[in-house]
Formats: sequence, structure tokens, C-alpha cells
Amino acid sequence: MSIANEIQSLRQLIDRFAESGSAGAADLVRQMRGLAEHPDGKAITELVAVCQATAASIETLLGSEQLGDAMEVVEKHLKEVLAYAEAWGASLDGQGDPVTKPAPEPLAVDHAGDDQHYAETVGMFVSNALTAVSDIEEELLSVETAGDALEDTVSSIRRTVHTLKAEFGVLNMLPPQKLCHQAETTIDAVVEHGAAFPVDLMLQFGDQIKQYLERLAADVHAQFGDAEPMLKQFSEIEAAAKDTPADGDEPVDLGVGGDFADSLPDFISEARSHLADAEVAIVELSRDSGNGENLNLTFRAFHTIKGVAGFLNLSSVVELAHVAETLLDGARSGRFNFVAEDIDVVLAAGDMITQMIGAMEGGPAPTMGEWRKLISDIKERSDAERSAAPSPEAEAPATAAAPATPAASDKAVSPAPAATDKAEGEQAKKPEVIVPKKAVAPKKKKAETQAARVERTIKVSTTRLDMLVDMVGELVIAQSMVAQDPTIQNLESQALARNIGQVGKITRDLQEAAMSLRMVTVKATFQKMARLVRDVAGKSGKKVNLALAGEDTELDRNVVEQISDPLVHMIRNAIDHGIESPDARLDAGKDAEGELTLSAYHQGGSIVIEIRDDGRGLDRNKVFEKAVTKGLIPEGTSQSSLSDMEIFNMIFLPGFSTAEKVTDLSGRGVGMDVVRRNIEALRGKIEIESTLGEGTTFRLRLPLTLAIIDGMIVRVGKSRYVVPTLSIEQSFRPSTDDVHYVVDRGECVHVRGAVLPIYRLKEVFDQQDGCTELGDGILIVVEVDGQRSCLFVDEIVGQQQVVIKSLGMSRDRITGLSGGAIMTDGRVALIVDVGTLVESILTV
Amino acid sequence: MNNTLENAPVVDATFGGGKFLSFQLSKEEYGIAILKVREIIGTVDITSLPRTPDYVLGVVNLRGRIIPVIDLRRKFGLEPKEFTNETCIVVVDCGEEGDSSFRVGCIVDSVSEVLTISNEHFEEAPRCANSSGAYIDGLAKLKDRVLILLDIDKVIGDIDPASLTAGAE
Repeated sequence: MSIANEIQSLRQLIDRFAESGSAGAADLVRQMRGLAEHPDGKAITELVAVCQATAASIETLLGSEQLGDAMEVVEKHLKEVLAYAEAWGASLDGQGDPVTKPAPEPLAVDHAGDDQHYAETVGMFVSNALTAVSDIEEELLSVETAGDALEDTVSSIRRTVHTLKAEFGVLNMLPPQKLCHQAETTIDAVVEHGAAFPVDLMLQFGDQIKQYLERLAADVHAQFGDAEPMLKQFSEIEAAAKDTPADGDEPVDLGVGGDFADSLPDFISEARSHLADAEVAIVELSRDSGNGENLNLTFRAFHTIKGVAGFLNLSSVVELAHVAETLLDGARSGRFNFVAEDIDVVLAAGDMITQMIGAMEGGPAPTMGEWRKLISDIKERSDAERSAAPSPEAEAPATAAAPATPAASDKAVSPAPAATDKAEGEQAKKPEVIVPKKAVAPKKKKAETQAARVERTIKVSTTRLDMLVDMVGELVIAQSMVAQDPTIQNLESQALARNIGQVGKITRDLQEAAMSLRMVTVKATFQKMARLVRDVAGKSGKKVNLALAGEDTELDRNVVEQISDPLVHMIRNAIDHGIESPDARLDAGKDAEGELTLSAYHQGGSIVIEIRDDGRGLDRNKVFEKAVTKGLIPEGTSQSSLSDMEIFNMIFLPGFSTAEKVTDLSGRGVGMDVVRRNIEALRGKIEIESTLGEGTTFRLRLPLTLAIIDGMIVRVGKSRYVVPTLSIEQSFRPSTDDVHYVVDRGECVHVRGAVLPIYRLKEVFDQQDGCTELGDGILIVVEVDGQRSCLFVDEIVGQQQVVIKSLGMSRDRITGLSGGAIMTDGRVALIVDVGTLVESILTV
Repeated sequence: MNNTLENAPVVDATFGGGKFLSFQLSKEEYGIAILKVREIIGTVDITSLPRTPDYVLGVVNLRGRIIPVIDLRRKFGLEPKEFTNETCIVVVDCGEEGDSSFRVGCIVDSVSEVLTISNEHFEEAPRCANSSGAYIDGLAKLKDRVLILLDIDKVIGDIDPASLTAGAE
């Protein structure tokens, strides 16, 4: 039967069906099925589908005997089918346009003016799509120049491709839709598996889409074939990406190098200080989540790092900083509360950036796997559907929204405006979140003053600084040489004397100022400890509140750098061993939250750093028993003869550990002796004070600076030596009655009931000249590691502060000497290192 | 730029010539690559340094910086000599640039002049199995005399802290 006849009979059957209802239904269904199966009709998929669907629904209606109700609907559908069929039949007869494109929505009733409308839609689509494609191209090129695909760019490309796909789909252009779909899945696979972004293929893809669009613009009814080779290429890349073993163990490519490598050191030190600030702020946030200034500060830190890193093309840093920033921005703008999990991921981001910065200086880089995981973790946090609690605290951070950071945003132009837009878009989508704008002005002012303060510091290399200090020291000596010159002193000119005095005063001021240049506050170090306390307390399941005091106390930069490790040990110990678990604390009638105080202050020319906990305190008996069982003290020592101080000091003995169980935090019995060694290397001392059940206090007594020591100038023959006052207990002229010669032990002297060995400096240092009679010289009692001994010298010349200088053979010290000092006459005096000196005598 | 001069003496075959400071030590005349020489000062008070080999005379204050001073006579096994008006301390910079570099003063009998020594005057050191031969780059044959060119890095490298402590024991 020809198709025209088929349609003719279909019309008759429909008419009959309309009149008689179910009676004609069976025939109608048969006819429609036949039409659907007709060899010519298959070309028009829509007609076939409609026929089949109508037939099926009529059958269902027949079965369910609800025909009457549904009759109208079915009739309408049938008319639709008929209209199609007739149009089709007419076209086959060569009387109309060839039907290449059935209406996209076959069941839409009104088709009047459809073609006109369709052409308009397509035209609009084409122009939009062309813009989209050129956007993609631009982004692809940026990916290529950056050498690495930024996640923002990639996701933007992916979004555009996805939109194109949907639009082609709406217009029912299957081949382009298929191509877009394939491109999209390939991008997903590439991103997921961290494979290289297929820039070339994507550019070809863009060209192909453009070609489609141009043809479409020329003819809205243009028909497309599949771009087979390209589909194949895409699926190959997709497969390859999926096969790529996840490069999770590969170190992150830092992207160091390029045109701005010179700026890297600046970036590194800047980023470090930003991260340190941020860390402090974050840790503080964990205590007071409503503090908007802290959130802002953290945000600014990440923002600035992102900006500078972007400038230096450090894409992996940029990306990490960016996601952290987005999360912080969300919290800051009040979209959600900043909770403990957020703090964790932001801290982790800070840590990873620190590690990456370390890697730029040769440290180990984090792996791609870690990096990617962290990024997705952070994203998860910021994408999570969360709402701001309506508490007043929650509003506080929001008050300092975007306008509060003019300094930060001026400094760094965000490399990812798209993402910011997105964030704003998200914000706009959630109108229920109220962002109070009050109090913006004062915050802004604060941020500005902060920026101004930062600008007033400059970075100076430490070598230059040391050089300045050296030169000033030299000036002081030269000045005093001039002032004490006999020729000048014999001149009886008051004006000259006054001027020389003036020069002397200025010189001393200058020296003081130069010295102060090297002083830094302990703030940064203390704040690092805040982070540590949080981590350690979390791990050990204890509640600890850290109070800081005297953070502005200044110390020599070198000292500050070197107390960090001992402090870490001691704070770990305090939390792990000192502070009890919350339950135990409550049982003991204390607050569940332990109190840890870290303070710094001046005391008698030295700096004291105090670590005080209100934990269980040191148990005198336990410590003693432990020391005995571990064989750390000689057998038969009676406990009662020892002072608390002496017993507590046993915890510094190597191999001592009071913790019953060894945790991964501390308690291997190596901590405290390392602490003591480190502190002593800084010429400092540790004191312990402890009351059982009430807590323990560790006091680190440190010199103000490593560069200067208080020294006793002693003379042996023609040479002068400097003995650090810190190690001197007393000095006296021995009477011959007190001096004995002990077999195997050498000379000894009775000092207040103790017998101390005598070391003659002259002999120790192989000097030819100097006193040989003990009665003619002076004995200096020195104490090192609890061991006392006497140094014999000719005389004590005086006491003064000296600047320690290396002896010029820097790599290793000469045993018994810690350096040299330049005396006021310009000559060099050697500084005695009592510790190694005594040690070397004992080992020989 | 100073690379060629610093490195050239090490590889004898490619000695590129250059400027040398010549000085007298006992009867011999020696040369040190001029780029190694920091300055020349007269003798000053030297603070003797205990527990060091005897050729390390001690340390001096060089404008606020303490530098060790070695006696090249003793170092080369020559008879020590009282300081005279002509005795000088040649301050040299040793080792690589950067952290490991250090400045040392060398006592010499007297300094003479700065000479330009070209390749044709250069001759490798005779291979006599003398321990101090290791310090010598080569010889420079001039019109009427022979200059012993010192590799000062090796001479000073010998007083490296490690050997200093070793010498003390």
C-alpha cells in the first residue's frame, strides 16, 4: 500500500473511532501500527513514535474500560498524528517543502508561524554559541600559556561546553549535541584523573562547533553528520585519562621559575608571615568563632598569597589559596558559620602552602594526591549547604564583608574573577541570608591603619644587619681608643673633652640602636604554640586553654629561632603529661579545661620564658623512684637529702620518662634532655617549680642576645680570656692549706665543704707565661651541668659585656673556646666555653 | 669573570695566565692569584690560639672581624723568623663563595709586586714527592727568577677546622 493510501485509511479509521468509540479502536490501532512500520514512514521518527505511543495508549484505554473519559485526549492526539501524516504524505507527493525537520515538540498544537519563530531561536542561539566558543578558545589559550590548567578555567570551559550541549539538545541537533557530550565527559575524566588537559583537541572541538554554527546560520534547517574522527579522539583521550594511574604520589608541580624567579624569596618570606598571622587568627577563631576581624585577617592572608602567587605563576599555590579563600569568604560574608571542620581544612591549607613554600627552597613537596584531596575537601566545605545560625555572633563576621578589605584587594588582582562571580551568584541565590552592613566604616578604617603600619617596615638581609652591628662595634672601640689616647687626654681643652664625650654618647646610642635592630618579639613563636596546643590537646582528648602573656618581649632573632623547638617539646609534655583528662580534672575539683600559660618577661638582664600548667604536677617520690629504677642516679642516694629542685631536675636526665604510656606526641624519654641541651646551647638555664596536684612551671632563663655575653675578663700571662659570668659561681684567692693533691684526680681545693678539681687555664691552653703559684693567682669556681670545678687564672681584670665573634674558622669550634671578643684596645680576647673545656679535660 | 682565574690554576694544562701577587718567603719568591687577595696589612697584635697547630699563630681583629693568621714559614717547614718592618699579613679569601668561604691572614716576609703571568711563562710543578708540593699550582719562569705559584685554597684548606682539632690532639 502506498503511503498516501495508508494515510487515507488512517483518517477514515480515526473518524470512525471518534464516532463509535471502542468499536473502531482495534482497527485504528492496527492501522497506526502498520503506518509506523511502513518502509517509507520510518524516515520520520516523530510520526512513527507518535503512532506507536497513541496505539499503545488506546490499547491501554480499551483494556481499562475508561475510554469515555479519555476519549477527548486521544482524539486530540490522533488529530495530531493525522496532521503529521498528511503533511508527510503531501511532501512525498512533491507538493511541499521536504520535511527534514519536524517540529521539536510533536504534541504542541499550534504550529502556526513556527518556522519563523524557529529561525529566530536558532539565530539567537548561533550568535550566543559563537561567543561561547570564542570564550572557550580564549580560556584554552590561557591554559596553554600557563602551562597548567587552573581548576577555575577548566570548570568554566566545562560549563560552557555543557551549556552548548543542552542548547543543541533543545534544538534537537543530535550530532553537535553528541560531540559536546563527549567533550564534556572527556574533560571530566581528564580532571578527575589529573591527566594533561587536551588543549589542542579542545581547540579543534571549538572549530568544529563553529563550523556547525556557521552552517546553521546559513540554513536553519541544516542537517549535520557526526564528527566521527573527533568523537574518537575524545574517547581515546578519555580512556587514556582513565587509564592514567592516578599521579597521586607525584609531587605537586610548583611551577617555580619563569620571569619572576627573582621575586620568589620575597614571596616566600611574605607568604610565611601571612600564613603565620593567619594561623594565629584561625586558632583564635576556634575559641571565638564570632570574631570577624580574625576571619578577615585569615581571608586577607590567603587572598594576598593567592594574588602574589598568581603573579608568579605558582598555579598550585594559587588554586589552593583560592579554594581556602572562597571558604573563608563564605564564612566572612555570613553565609555559614565557621565551624571546627572549616578550621581544620583551612589550617591544613595553610600547612600545605607552607610545605609548598618549603619545597621551593628544596624541601619535600606535597604529593598531587594530597593536594587534590585537600582542594576537594575544602570545596566540599564551602559548597556544603549550610546556613548561618541566626545568633548575634553569626552576624558579627558578616559586618566586615568585602568592602572592609581595600588594602588586600588592591594589592592582589584576583586571577579568577569567574569564581568570585560564582560565589556572588551563590550568595544572590540565597536571599534568606541577611548580610547586615552596619559597622562597615570603622572596620574599614582599621584595615587601613593596619596596612599603613605594615608599609613602614622594610626587609633587610641579615648579613647586612650583622655587618652594620659589626661596624658599629668597631666604632665603639675606635671611639674609646681616641678618647683614651694620652695625647688627647693631656690636652687641656674643655670643648674638646665635651665633644669627645658627646661622640661617645652618640656612639653608645648608635650601638644600642644597632643591637635593637636584631631584636624581634617572641610573638610569632608564641602564636605558633597556640596552634600546637590546639593540635596536641585535640589528639590527646584534653581541653586546654592557652593564655599568652608578654608576647611583645623582644629577644635576639637567633634566640627566638632556637627556642621554638624546646618550647614545642615542653608544651607537648605539659599537655600530654601535665594536664589531666577532663574527667580526672573534674574528680580533682578543677575546671575541666586545663589552663596553660606561656609568658615572657625580663628579669635581671635576661629574658624569662615561663610555661605554667595547672595539671597534676610533678610527684617528687615518683620522679625519684623512676630515676632509681632507670639507674640514672647513683645507688644509695637518699631521697631526703635531695631538694625538690634536685629531684625535679632528674627529668632532664637522658632516658627519663614519667609517662606511663608512650604516646605519639611525647613520652619517649628523649624530650627533656634535648630541651635542656638546646637551652644550654643558647647559654640559658631551665628551672622547674612544681606542686603536686596543682601544676608545674618551667622557667627558661635566656640571654637577651646571643651576640653579647656578660663576661669576666681574666688574664693569664699576657693573654686575656673572657669567662661567661653565667657559669661563674664565685672567685677567691686560695690559701695553700686548702689545696691538696689527690692521686689520679690532680689538684683539688676545699671550697665550703666541697672538694673541687683545679684546672689551670695556663696549662689547659698550653701557655708559656702566667702564674704557676696558686697563691699568686685567683681561683674561679665554675658550674656546668651541675658539676663544679675551679679555673686558675692570674687575675681578674674586670667585668664587661662583650660581643661574641666567630674565630673565623667557622665550621667547627675549637674545644674549650666559644669565640673571640674584641676588647676596648682593639685586641682579641678568647671566650672560654666552660662546658666543652671541662669536658675535654675529663675525656683526655 | 674571576672564574677563569680561580679555576685555571687547578687545571694545569689550561692555565690561562693572570695577575699574581708576589711575595718573599725565606729565599724563595711565591705568587698568589690576585683575586684571592683581599688586602695587605702590617703586623698587628696577634692573640695566640690554644689547641691549634703551631703554624696557626692566632687571631687578629680585622676591622671588627676576627680572622685567623697563619705563618707560611712554619706551614712550609721553614725556619721561623722574627717579624721585621717588612713583615706583612696578606689577607686572602678562601674557599667557595658563600657560607663556607673564610678569610685568613698569611704572614710573609715581604710583598714585592703584582705580576702578570702569561701562559708561556707557566710550567707545571716538578713532581717531587714533597707533601707541600700539593699546595703548588706550578712555576712561573720569569726573566731572571722563578715564582712558585701557590694554590692558596689548598694551603688554607689544610687549616680547616677539622684538621685544626686533629692537630691539637
